[in-house]
Amino acid sequence: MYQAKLPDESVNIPTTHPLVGLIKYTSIMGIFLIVLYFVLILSIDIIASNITPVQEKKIAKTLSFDTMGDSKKSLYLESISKKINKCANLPYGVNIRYIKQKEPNAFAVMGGTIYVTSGLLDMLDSENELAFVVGHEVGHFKNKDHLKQMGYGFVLSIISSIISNGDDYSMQSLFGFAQSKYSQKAEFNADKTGLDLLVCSYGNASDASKLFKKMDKDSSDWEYFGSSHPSFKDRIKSIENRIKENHYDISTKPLPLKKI
Amino acid sequence: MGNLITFLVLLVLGYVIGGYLERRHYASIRQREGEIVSLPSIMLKKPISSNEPSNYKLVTGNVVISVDYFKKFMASLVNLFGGSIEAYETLLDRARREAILRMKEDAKGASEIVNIRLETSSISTNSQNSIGAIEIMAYGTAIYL
Repeated sequence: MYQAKLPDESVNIPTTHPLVGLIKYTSIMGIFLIVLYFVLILSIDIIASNITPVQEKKIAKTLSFDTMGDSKKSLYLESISKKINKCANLPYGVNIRYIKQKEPNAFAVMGGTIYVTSGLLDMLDSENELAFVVGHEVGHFKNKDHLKQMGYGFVLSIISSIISNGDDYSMQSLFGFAQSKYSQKAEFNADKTGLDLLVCSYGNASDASKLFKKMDKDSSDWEYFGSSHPSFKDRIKSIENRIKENHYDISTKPLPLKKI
Repeated sequence: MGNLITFLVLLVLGYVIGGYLERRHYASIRQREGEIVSLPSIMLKKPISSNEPSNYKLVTGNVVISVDYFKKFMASLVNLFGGSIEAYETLLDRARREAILRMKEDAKGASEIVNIRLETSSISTNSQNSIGAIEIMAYGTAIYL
């Protein structure tokens, strides 16, 4: 005898709330990724601190960067880096390359090469400012930040590829956020080293923060939230604090920039 | 940062609107199931009633339901560890019941439906950017006495 029956909903419909599953799985994933992230970052720090200059040169040879620009400017830059390098005691020489690019920027790459853009040079008024920029980048070399940064980029790419497999691009930006704290710290440290090197090779700290003051005018504070670099205001503050603490001389007139 | 906001908006949108639509769908399914429960629908090839039918009809019901962003995200999370994707289970349940309901609604006035089969088709999986949808078709023979 046929008897009509409604479907039994307890069989095929899950009883747990969807949010419970969301919290459960995201926390497992989150904990796993955070642990992985810190383990990798820590090992990068250890590896970067222990890489010898010879090994670094070898690795740098496998990477190629475009070099261009005019030789006169490069020579001038080179002379400044030599002055700075006398104080820095780096185990290798520093090369400076000049790039034609509007965006004011300077960066350090493996193998002791610093790149300075024409946009940055155009903003400068004195040699001291330039020496501070070079000092800052040399500071990155001293602290092995260039190696660490490369390693961190590698770690981030590993983690983001794990995540993108799970189709979740949000965590990528979360880890980028965590990353920014480390890299901002590195920038402050490089600023300090840059300042010390400027004082060591030029005898005074005049114009050390002048470039940042100029750049600060063109930027707004919120840009730096989660960014790899701290805000110019904070960097200026940190530089001026160090000048006060160490009683660096800022009354001497800064050397004029050679116009080439 | 922009990515994160987009993602969170989509997730909340999927959860709130997707959840609302699912509850509404279930309410509709339950109500219609109650109304049509008296129509026997079986998978046997032979009718229950031994009377000679006056007519037969092929009745079908098909349904395509898309996943929402929240469900998709949940599935991708579970996909990393393994386990049952519960978010998709309700989707399958809804699709199956809706397809059977539509088939039954197609058989108005019939005394029973026999030889019911359920099939999944695949429009969405063949498309290049898989949109993620469940497609179920139910069909059977309606018998009119």
